[in-house]
Amino acid sequence: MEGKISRKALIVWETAAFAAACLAAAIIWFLLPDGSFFWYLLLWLTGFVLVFCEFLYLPLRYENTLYIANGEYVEYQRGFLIFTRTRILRRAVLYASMVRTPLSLLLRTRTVVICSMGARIAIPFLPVKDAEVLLANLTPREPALQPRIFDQKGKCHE
Amino acid sequence: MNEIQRQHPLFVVHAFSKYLILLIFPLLRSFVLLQGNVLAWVQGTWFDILVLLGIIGAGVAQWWCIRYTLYPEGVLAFSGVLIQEKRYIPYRNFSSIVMEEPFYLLPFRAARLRLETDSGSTRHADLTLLLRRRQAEQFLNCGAGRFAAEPCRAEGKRSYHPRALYIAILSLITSNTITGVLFAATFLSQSGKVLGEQFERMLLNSFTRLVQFLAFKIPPAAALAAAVLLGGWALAFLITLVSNLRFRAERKGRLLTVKSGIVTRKEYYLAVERINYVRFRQSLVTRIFGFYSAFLNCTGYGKERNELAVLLPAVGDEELKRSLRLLLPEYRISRRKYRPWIRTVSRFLIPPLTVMLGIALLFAALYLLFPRFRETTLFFALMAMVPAVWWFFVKIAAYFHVGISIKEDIYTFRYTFGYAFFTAVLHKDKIARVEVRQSLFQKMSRCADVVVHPFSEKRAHFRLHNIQIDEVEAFLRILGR
Repeated sequence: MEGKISRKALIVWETAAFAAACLAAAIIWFLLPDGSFFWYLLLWLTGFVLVFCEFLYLPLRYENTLYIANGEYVEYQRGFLIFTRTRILRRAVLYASMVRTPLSLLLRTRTVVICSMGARIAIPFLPVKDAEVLLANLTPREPALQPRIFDQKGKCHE
Repeated sequence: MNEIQRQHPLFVVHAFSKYLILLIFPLLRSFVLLQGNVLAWVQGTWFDILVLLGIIGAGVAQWWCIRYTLYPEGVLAFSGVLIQEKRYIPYRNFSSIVMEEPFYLLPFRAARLRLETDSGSTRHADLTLLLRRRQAEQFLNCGAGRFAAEPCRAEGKRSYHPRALYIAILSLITSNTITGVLFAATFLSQSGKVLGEQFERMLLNSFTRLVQFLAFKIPPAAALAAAVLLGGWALAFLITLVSNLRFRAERKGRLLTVKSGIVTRKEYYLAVERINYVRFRQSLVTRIFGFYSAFLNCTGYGKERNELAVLLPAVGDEELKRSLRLLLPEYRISRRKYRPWIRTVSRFLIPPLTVMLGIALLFAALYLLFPRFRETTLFFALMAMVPAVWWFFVKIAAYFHVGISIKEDIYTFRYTFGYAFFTAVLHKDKIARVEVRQSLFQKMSRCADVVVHPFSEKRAHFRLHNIQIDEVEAFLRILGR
């Protein structure tokens, strides 16, 4: 199965970016002398970064976010400036869990966390139904794989 | 078997030894100062004596509550006084069992046993017991003995004894200045607590006099920095040397046994199937001379402070293959298959060149701004440039080192971190996560960083820089099979 995270993620990110920009602007407004060179420079810079994030970076980041779960592996792709693909092999999955936070309750989304020994992948902002299907798909049906470095006869697995 | 057993009675004082030492020395000092006048001593220190008795009482209660029973397939352990915990651990789930015999436990014929599984705390062992030597051996027979009896590719008993020179090389590679400095600082502060401030002051004065004596024609600040760095490093070298002397590794069945140490004898019993990966480490110097040090990642081995998870302290190219075939024939290093291509060589060299330029500009500014400290500035500029130039050479060598290779199910990852060159060998089932990271610049030069997260109790990763993107795809395809 393959899918994208909920579009609500983009709204959350853009709101967060807007809030962060407002906070930065307020700090600059109050801390630096009004009308000074740095006051103008930092305010313009904050505005520019906000516009860049809101109209280019975050939408492209959202477009690049994707999860794939097939018989071999589960992969989570994200990022724009640095594009990252994180992959856990199905045989290494020890368990998967679904996380609900007050915000996700409001947005009707869930985070699915896939755990292996020493690593994990968290896929946030999944629509509830998709999250449940993914969780059912990823939860191992059998006990965790025993190390195959020795086969049944005791010889090296080759 | 099947009977309830308790720890060595020494546990009563051993469990709270840190606090007891802090209390006993001031009590004894006051007793000596009062020239044996017991009544006056009790009147003056009655509260301290009560605390001391309370600590011993808590030790007795804990000793009574911690007990275990050995069953044919596992151990049932009880622990805790107020909050009692009962757990059954099958022997098959043990990753390692560690037996420690510090010199001060030898007269009591006692040994500390640390039992580890892949689960539990990442800082402490799952079960730690202070046992009589006889009890510890019984435990080892049950827990580790079954791994030794199981058949595997490594037939018979195979052992490896390195020369003392190789232990010295290992100490040379792994000694860390910070460890030595921290050890010295802890020693100074603890000696101040136990033996009084006068002793601590005397130690510090002696150190200052030594630095003044050695600082000949060198700025005092530079001499002090050099002394701290060199002294810390020398101390760390000694600690590593002493804890790894008399190193011996043995393989029998599916059990790997490692014994080392003089002051504290340590015996590690490792289940081979629980070894997550074998990692070889080289510095630029050892790479030039063709030496490797091999380390293991197995839960419980190298977990304690100042402990190294050594498999082979130092070996040459040929001996490495021979020794690895002897101890762990399941792991085989293969030739580099996927590697960075020539167009990405600049991506390796840009970081050290940037650092070198940054240092040059910074110290040039300091040289011009503070004319009174020009001599010191020049000295520090030189000292700062040395590691940057060294890093540049490391990065050149890194281009020829980094890569991935696959031989059946055994994967070899070659990568660098800081000044060190690493080669990690692991079974494909021990790969927990793979991450492919590609920045916009890497996209232009058609390469990507591959971050491999192996199975490990603590989070660990190998980061391979600038591998060709087509080869990364090929690697991912093979891994998925």
